[in-house]
Amino acid sequence: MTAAHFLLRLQSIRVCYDHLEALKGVSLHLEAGEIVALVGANGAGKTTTLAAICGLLPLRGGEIQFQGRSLAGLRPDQIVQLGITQVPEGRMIFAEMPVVDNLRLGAYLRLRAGQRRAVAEDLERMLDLFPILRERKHVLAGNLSGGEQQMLALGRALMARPRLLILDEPTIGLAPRLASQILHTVAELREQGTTILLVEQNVLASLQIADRGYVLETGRVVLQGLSEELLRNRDVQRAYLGKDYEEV
Amino acid sequence: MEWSALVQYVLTGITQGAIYALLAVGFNLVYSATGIINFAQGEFVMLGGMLAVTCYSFLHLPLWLSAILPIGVVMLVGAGIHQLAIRPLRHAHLVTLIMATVGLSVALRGLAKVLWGADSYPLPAFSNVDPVALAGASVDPQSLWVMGVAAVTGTALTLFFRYSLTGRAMTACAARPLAACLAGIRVERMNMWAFALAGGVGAIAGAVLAPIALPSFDVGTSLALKGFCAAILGGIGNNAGALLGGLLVGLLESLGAGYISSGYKDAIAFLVLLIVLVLRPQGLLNVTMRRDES
Repeated sequence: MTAAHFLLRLQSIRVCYDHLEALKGVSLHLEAGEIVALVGANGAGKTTTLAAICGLLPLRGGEIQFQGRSLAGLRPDQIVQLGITQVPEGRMIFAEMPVVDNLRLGAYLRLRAGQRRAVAEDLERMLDLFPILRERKHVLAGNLSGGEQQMLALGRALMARPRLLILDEPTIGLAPRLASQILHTVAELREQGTTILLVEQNVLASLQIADRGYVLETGRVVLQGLSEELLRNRDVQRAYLGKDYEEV
Repeated sequence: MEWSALVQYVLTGITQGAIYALLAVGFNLVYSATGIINFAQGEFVMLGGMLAVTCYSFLHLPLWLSAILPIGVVMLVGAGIHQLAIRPLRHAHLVTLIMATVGLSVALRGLAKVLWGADSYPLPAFSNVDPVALAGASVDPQSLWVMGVAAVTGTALTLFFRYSLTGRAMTACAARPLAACLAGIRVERMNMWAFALAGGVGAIAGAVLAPIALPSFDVGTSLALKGFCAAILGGIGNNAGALLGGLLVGLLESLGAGYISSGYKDAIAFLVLLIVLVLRPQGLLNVTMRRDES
């Protein structure tokens, strides 16, 4: 398997906050069309990994490649331009703007590039994909429910037409029914050809829709494999699936 | 009580208030984007006035061009301040950044004194017509210019932030810098625009004010204080509040000077500010004080 085969490849990346080393050489990769889950406890380095991919944090070592090209020295907007979009944890919608403006800003770089018609078409597609947003398209985003806000955050990210969609805790704080609806949408997006890197506190649900997974502990990948292998793994079951020693 | 005197005080108050409102809008532009109180905002107004005078009296440009040209120049000054002084300090504490703007304010004032000396310079009124009589008072045509220009500027900014892509992106950056960044918006670039717009709004105020209050190198300080008062009164970051706060400060000052003593006119504005801060620290129009730190 050649390096160019990977859509995204992290090679032993290191990230530090002041003197604290948050990532101590993380390596992982995604092939086009995959859903990959990144699993780990709080503070394991999941969000830091995502921030590093998006160019929000400088690397102290290692390299990130997207479609065989190094992301070193690129600004966050240039990385978005290449096709990587992240839905940040906590949704972070623009609360004081209507739903449509939130969606349009997701396509900011495309609008800057003059793709007005394509963006308008995508906006319609997004409102088809999330009918609840169509009903409420002129409502201020801050007045939406938590589930609606998550759909909006997802829709906003998709407006950039990403090749790689990164989702940080997309179901946190949502009722179980809404959470499974979001994950169902994520699975559908993959069917349409989007590659997805998923960080999710619900390890069982995320491994159920993912093809492969990585387990992160204190800044290192301690386990990786196909989702079903990870789901069968005793350490994973104990640490993340809430099973007692007797059960496994 | 004499009605004509009251009308006169109110008109003066509204005129001054419109200028303070423009200053408050300038404070809001930078604050919303960056969280910084830009104490050089008054110097933007001073530069606008001094440059207008320079264009007209020394370069002999037509009056309309002399009023418009400084807007572009001070926008460049604002952008330059961001790129050379604020952006390099982006990892510093907010207080450090605010201190930097105090330093810039002193530096700009010093530079102005070197360039123009300590004199005040006159600029003719924009319309060469006689004062208009209104309810026994007389309205200076330049006052109408001040009110009109302030109204147009406020409306234009509102439309810019609501409907233009750059305006929406700036609003997004101010509310959710991280999410804006992940959408591909360059936050630093938008912050630069905020400083540029603050410079532009300052220059507009300076040019339109110049025929009423002759500009000199040191007019910025007291204007900035009043404008800051107006911004805090209305609720910092809130442009409707800026208008309300500006008019309040202007009216209080003018009525106080008329009915109590002109010696106390500054004190009255600050007294009201203190009372509002005690009773309603978030300002009159803001619901909460919390700024979104994402």
